[in-house]
Amino acid sequence: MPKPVQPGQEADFAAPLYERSGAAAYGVSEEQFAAILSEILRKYLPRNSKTGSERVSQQEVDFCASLRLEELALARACAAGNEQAWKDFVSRYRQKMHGMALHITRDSAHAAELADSLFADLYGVSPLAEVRKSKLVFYTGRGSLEGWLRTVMAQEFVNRYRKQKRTVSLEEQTENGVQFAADPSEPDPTADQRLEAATDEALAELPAEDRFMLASYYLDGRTLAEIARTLGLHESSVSRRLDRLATGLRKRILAGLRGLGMSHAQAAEALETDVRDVQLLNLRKRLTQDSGPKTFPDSRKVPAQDPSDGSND
Amino acid sequence: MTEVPKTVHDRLQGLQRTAQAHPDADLLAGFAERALSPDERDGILEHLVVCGDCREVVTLALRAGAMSAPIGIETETDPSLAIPAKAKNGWISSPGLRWAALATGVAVAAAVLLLHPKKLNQAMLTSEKQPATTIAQPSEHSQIAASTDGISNKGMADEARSEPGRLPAKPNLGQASARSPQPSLGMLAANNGRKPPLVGKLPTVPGTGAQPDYRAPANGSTGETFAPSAESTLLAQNDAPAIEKAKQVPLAIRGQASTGQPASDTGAGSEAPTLKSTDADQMSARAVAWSITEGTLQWSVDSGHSWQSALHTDRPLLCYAAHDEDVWAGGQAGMLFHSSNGGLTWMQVRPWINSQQLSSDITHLELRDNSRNGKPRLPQEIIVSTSNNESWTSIDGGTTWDRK
Repeated sequence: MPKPVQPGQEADFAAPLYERSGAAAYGVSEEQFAAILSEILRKYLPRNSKTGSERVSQQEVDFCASLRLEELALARACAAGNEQAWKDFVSRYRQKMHGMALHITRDSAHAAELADSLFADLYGVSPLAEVRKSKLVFYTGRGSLEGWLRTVMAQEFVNRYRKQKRTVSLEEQTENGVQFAADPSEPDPTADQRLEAATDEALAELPAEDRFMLASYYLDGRTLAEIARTLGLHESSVSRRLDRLATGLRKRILAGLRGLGMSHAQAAEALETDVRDVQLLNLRKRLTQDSGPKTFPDSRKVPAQDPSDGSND
Repeated sequence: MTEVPKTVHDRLQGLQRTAQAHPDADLLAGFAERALSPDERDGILEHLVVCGDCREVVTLALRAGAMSAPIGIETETDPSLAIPAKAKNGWISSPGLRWAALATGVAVAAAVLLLHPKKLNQAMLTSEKQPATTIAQPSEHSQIAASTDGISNKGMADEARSEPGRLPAKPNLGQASARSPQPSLGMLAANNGRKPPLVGKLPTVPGTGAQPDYRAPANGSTGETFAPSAESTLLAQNDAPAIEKAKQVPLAIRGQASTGQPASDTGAGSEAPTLKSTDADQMSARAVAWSITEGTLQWSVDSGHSWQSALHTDRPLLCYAAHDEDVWAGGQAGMLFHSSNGGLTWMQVRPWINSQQLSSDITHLELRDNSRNGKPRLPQEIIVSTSNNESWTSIDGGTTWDRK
C-alpha cells in the first residue's frame, strides 16, 4: 500500500527533482518540470479513480526519483526548442547516432539515412506539420536517453524493413522463386490436435522469460550471446537453460499426451514421428512442387489429385 | 544445443501476432537496461514472446549499444558482456600450484642451460644488450617515439578523465618496461597470477605457451571492467582478435605511419627493430602490428604470422597511423576512424571546418608528437593528407580541425 505523502508535500515533491535535473539551465521552470513529471506519472502510475486523491504518494515520489532526470530535462528542453539544450544534445549524441545506425543497418548509406531521418524527427521537422513537434517529447526517462535513441532507431529500421518487404514486386518474387516456395506457416492438416493441445499446455506452464528464450533461439535464430545480453544473463546460463527447456518440454508434452488418452508408446511415437517428419515432409512437398509432372499433373494418369501434396495447379 | 520437437516450433510460430499495439520505446529501452519493475518486465516479456518485431528491435538496439561498437559508440559496456570467465585450467589457479609450475619452469630452464651452455650463453648475451636497443631504437624510426617511454600516469589519467566513456589508458608503459626488460617465460607465468580484466571471448595468448588465469572482474561496471592492470590487460571484444597487451611498448606500432602499402609477411618484424634472442622474440610476439591489405585494416599480435581484420568499413581504407594505443585509419571519401585503445573500439571521425566536411580520399596519416618541455602531450596531433592536396590537422583527437 503506497504511503501517502503529507498534505502540501505534492507542491514540493518536484522541487528536489527539479534541482537534480539541472532543467533550470535549459530554461525549464519548476512548474513546467512538475507538469512533465505529472504527465509521466499519469502514464505509468495511473491514479486510483475511486479515491481520486490528488496527493502524491511516496510510491510516486520514488518512481519520479528513479527517472533519468537530467536526460529527461535535456530531452524535454530540446523538444521545447531550447538552443543550449540542442547544443548539448548534438555534442553528446549526434555522432553516436551515426554509430548506432551503422550497427543497426550494417550499411553506411542506409545508416546515414536512418540517423539523419531520426535526427529530423527529433528536431521535429515535418513537411506536413506546421508546428514543429519533436519526437523527444515521448522520452520519459525510464531508461537512458541513449538507450531510448537506440530503440527508436531500431524501431524505425524494423518498420522500414517491413515496408520494404511489403513493397517487393510480384515480379521480383517470381524471380526469387517465392511463389513456388511452400508456406512455412501453412497449417498441417495431418497434425494431431492432441499434440498441439499438449504442446500449448506445456508452453503455457513456462515462465515468460523461458518462452522468450525459446522464441528467440528457435524462431529468430538469435545467438546465445544475444539472448544473454537481452536478459542480462550469462551466455552459459542461457545455454544450460535452453537445454533444460528442450528436455523438459519433451517430457511435459509426452505427459500431456498421456493425459489426453495416449499410451506412452503412442505419445512417444507422435512426438518422434513429428520430429522426424520435419525434413521429410518439406522435402516431399518441394519435390512434388518442383517436378514437372506434378506441377502440371496428367489428369489421365492422376484422376484425383491429393490436395495435401501441395501442387500448384 | 538440444533440438525441440517440431510441434514446439510450430506452436511458438502460431503465437506470433503482427497487428497489435507495441510497447513504446521507453519501455523497451527500460527493459533492455533492466530499469523496469518486475511486473513491467514480465509484461514486456509476454509481449516479446508473441512479437517478433519487438524482439528484433530489442536485439538491434542492444547490438548498437552493448556490443560496444567499434564505431561511434564510446564503450558503454553492458555488465552482461563481461564474461565471468573461469580459469580453463582451474587446477593451476591455486597459488601453490602456480608457484610449483614456476619452480618447474626454472628447473627445466636450468637443466637446458646445463645441457646447452654455449648456445644459451650467446642468447643471453644478445638479450642483455637488446632491451636497451629496443627501448631506444624507436626514436630513430619516428619523430613521435622519442618520448614514448616517458608517458606519465598523470597524462594517461587525464585522458581517461576527460573521456569517461572510453577505455582507460594503459598506465606508465615506460616504467613497466624499465622494470622488466626481459620477460622470461617464468615471469610471464607469474604475471598470469594477476587478474587481467576480461571482456568477450576467452582468447589464447600467443607466444607465452602458458595458459593464463582468466578471472572475471569483481564488478561488472564499466570502470571496473576496463580498469587497466599494471602488468597486462587482456581484452577481446566484438569478436575482435584477442590481444594481450604486454608491459612493453608495442614495438611495431611506435610512430608507424603508412600510406597504404601492405605490410610484408613478417609484419611487425619488418619495421620493428630486429630482435634475435628468444626473449626478444617473445617481446615482439606480444606487440601489435598493423597493416592495410586490400583496403582492410588488419592487426597481428604474433609478429605478423597471422593477421586478422581489425575494422570493418564499407569503403576501402587507404592508410593508417599508430602510436601506442592511438590508432587512426583513413580511406576513401573522407572516411576516418580513430581508436584510442589500441583498436579495441573505434569511432568514426568526421572532420568539419566551417560547415565543410572532409570528403576527398585520405591518402596519408601522420601522428606528430605534441610534447612540450620534454613532456609528451596526449592526444597526438593527427595530420590527414588528402587526394586534393589538403592537409587537415587536429590536436585534440579529432574534435576540432584545422585545414591548410
